[in-house]
Amino acid sequence: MKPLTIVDLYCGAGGFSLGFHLASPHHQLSLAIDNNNWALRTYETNFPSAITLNRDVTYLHSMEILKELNGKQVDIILAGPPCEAFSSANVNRKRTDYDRLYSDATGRNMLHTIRLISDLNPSYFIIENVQQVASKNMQTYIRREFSKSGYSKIHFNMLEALNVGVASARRRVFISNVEFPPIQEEKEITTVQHVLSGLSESQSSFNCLNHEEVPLPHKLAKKIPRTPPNGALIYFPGSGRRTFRNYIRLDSQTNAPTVMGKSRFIHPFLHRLCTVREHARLMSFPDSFSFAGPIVSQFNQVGESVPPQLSKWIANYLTKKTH
Amino acid sequence: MSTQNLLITLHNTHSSNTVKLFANTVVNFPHLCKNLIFSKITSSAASMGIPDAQKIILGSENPGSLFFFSDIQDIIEALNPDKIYLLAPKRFGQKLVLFSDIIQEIKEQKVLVVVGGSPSGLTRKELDLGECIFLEESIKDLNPVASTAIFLYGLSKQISE
Repeated sequence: MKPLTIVDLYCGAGGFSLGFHLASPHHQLSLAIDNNNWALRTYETNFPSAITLNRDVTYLHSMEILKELNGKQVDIILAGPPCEAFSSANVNRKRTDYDRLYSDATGRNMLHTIRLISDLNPSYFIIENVQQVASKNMQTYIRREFSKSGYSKIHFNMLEALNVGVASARRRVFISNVEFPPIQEEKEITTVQHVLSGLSESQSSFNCLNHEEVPLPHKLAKKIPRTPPNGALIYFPGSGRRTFRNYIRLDSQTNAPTVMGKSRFIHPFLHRLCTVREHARLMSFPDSFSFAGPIVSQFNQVGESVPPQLSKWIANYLTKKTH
Repeated sequence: MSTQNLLITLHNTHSSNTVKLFANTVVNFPHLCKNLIFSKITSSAASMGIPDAQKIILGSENPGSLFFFSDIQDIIEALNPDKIYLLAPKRFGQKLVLFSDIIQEIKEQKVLVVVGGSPSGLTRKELDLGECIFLEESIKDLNPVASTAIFLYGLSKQISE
């Protein structure tokens, strides 16, 4: 069987790609594009055979992609355009869905993704983003853009990472020309304790890649011993008068909250912050997957990924469908 | 030569400033084209740029009309041009622009020239709608207003020669 050529737009560290790689050897990760140096370095380290392109997708033409692929037909496009314009955690997001998509430079990345999908005409495409993208108005605008590009039927698939065994909550929309069935919920959720077990816990013997102590300002450090499970050190306003929390003490017996780029968690048993590796485990990354760059960038790369376990579920479904 | 025959179009921009500058550029060549045509204009380009462009064209020496379409296909359907050119950077353009040929064409035919307003230019599907031309071997990537100015100046110079 001919391997399927995959292009990953806004690839980041490569969580989306990793799921496809783990699901089937027939998925050939051919080209990955991002303009974040460290994320791209991570991608190159973990997928040495893929071509990486350090480019802003806004300025990228489909012909340049085809040139990189030597004219090879693209079978699958994966994309995770930035979600800041749409996310309710962004206090500065624009007021209307129209402005978020058309006026916000970050939001317009969605339009550039559609432009490239339309030009490259892959058999399948999957765009991951926050659930706010599935609002009624936003669906209308996105459907209209796709319909102009020749895709009359697209699906807004809402998938929850917890249901495929990821230890952190993450409800995301996957816009695709394929309709995914609802995920059969796992009987038991994967707990924080389960995924963190086996990592060395003492500060003197961190024994794994990206498992290094995270520095913390003294003011916050002294509050940690008094923070109970699910308690937080920092509260901040989001869009629409919502309040968000950070520096949350994980509860070992349940799942973690959504891991975001700026998220920091307090270890459930120790009086320290969780390491990048612990965040990666909460997101279902295997320990063999290494993250490059400064520690802040590593946290961002983990928090902005598609959990590989969820991506693997999608890849398995597509493989079944293509057969 | 009829100034109605050259249909120069700015396609796909969200920048009100680009719309305004494009309008200013085109009205400076009243002997070449009379009308302003826009397609797929979104965001502030639609809400602020188009009214500004309207004001510019009405205030020009030889006021023409402003046309506002949702896509290039709609322009083709509505204005029915005989020839379609898409102005693109050299790496996508198939043919160097020949001003003398275009001057000959606009004497008798309706010629649509589309300039891409998006940072990535015109898409592959859009480039397939007509003949893809580039301005100069040495020019790499220019913004749409500069490309329009060079294109119209080239035609203008050809007429005066």
